[in-house]
Amino acid sequence: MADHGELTVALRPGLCSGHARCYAIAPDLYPIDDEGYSALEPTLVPENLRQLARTGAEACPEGAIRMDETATKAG
Amino acid sequence: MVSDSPSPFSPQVSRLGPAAVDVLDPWESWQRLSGGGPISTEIDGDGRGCWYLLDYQQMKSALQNPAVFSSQKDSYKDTSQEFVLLPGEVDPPVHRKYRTLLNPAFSPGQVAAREPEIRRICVELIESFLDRGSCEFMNDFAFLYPTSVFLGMLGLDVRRTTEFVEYTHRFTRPRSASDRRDVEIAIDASLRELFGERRSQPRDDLASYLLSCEIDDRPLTDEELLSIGRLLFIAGLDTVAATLGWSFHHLAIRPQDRTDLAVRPELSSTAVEEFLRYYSVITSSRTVAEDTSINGCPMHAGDSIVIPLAPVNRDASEYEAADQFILDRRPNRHVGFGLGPHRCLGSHLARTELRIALEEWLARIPDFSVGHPDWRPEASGLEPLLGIGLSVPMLSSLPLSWASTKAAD
Repeated sequence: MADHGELTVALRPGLCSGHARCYAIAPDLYPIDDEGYSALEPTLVPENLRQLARTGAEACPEGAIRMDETATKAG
Repeated sequence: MVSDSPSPFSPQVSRLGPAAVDVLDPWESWQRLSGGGPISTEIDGDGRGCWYLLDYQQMKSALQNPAVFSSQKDSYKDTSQEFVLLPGEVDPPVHRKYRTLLNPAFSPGQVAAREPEIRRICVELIESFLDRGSCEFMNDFAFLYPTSVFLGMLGLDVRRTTEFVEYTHRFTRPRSASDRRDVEIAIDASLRELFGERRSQPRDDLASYLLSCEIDDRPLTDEELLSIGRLLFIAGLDTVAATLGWSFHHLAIRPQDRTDLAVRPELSSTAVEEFLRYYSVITSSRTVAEDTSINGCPMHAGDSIVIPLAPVNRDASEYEAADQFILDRRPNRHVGFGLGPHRCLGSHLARTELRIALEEWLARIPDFSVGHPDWRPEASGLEPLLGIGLSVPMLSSLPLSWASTKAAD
């Protein structure tokens, strides 16, 4: 499926509990701190990593990672 | 006070007796209860309710809301009175202070650094019975392996592994109340001795690390150290052993999964997640802190909440083909380690232990089966059906056999 527009991933406050499933799937996209909790800052995901970013976000049992997809405006 | 109050998880609240439970698939029995709302049962005498939360959304509502669904043990203020477990039995924000100390020691990075040691222990155990062509998996491997790893990590002598395996058995399956009390005293004594030794001569182990920790600008008290030590001991050994038992039983009776995993060891990580989902052994419990409701069911302050993660992890509204074991299931957003602030501290260690066990076992014993044709499975810890929170469903024994190259020569 072709990707259009942009994907931003960010942390929903107060939900990360250190499962580190995002990190297990995409350690470069989803960094963790010394405690093993997400250190994710809002990140505009490069086009070639979007699918990986979605897989990582969807792996979170807490639903702690927010995905904001913006469609490219036509014309 | 403690001895007077009736247990909130009294057996008479059961709706489904042990006779209805399939020993090899207690999970299926839980599922038969699920499908409706939370199951309510009144406890005789004190009028408090006991609610079983069996589906994914109910579980999530409770475990992500510790302000309403509390883990706090009433006796926490006086830890000398009872075998309290820190930080499992305290609520945020105090809970967070303890987790901040403990999390770094159990982070993915720290566990990865221990992987060679974990692997060495695993291989040594497998090779101790490899040539025999058979073993009793629970006694010869499932308990010894995580217990050895844990003792080494904490700082206790790994030569005491057998002794600590016995403590685990007696703590979780005590012969009597006094037996349970005796084993608590023995665990405490070993921990006190260890902390005493490390206080004067620190080493590179978890006990020394805990002694160096500060909370609110003060070192941990002796009671806090003991309480944390107990939790690590109680939470990490039975659970891994039980999961290993169900996982290897599965592989013994499912040749296709066994072969797939032996041929493609890179599937071990996803297989571990599916074992954790399909054979969940943890039951969480909480106490309602203030009047609330889930799915319209009114819950009152003081009511008990029981959340067996097994039916939650087989909830068809959350997982595709939830009833099927799929070795390479993806995504697999299971909650085998719980959810919310009390997410299992040892989850990364447990995952690593399980993955290494699969890798090293199948590299040496790719083909194996249940060892005795007349073996009748027996399992303990099916009591979640009777409402006891912490019990872990566990195979009592698992004889395995395989073709030994040595024996064939």
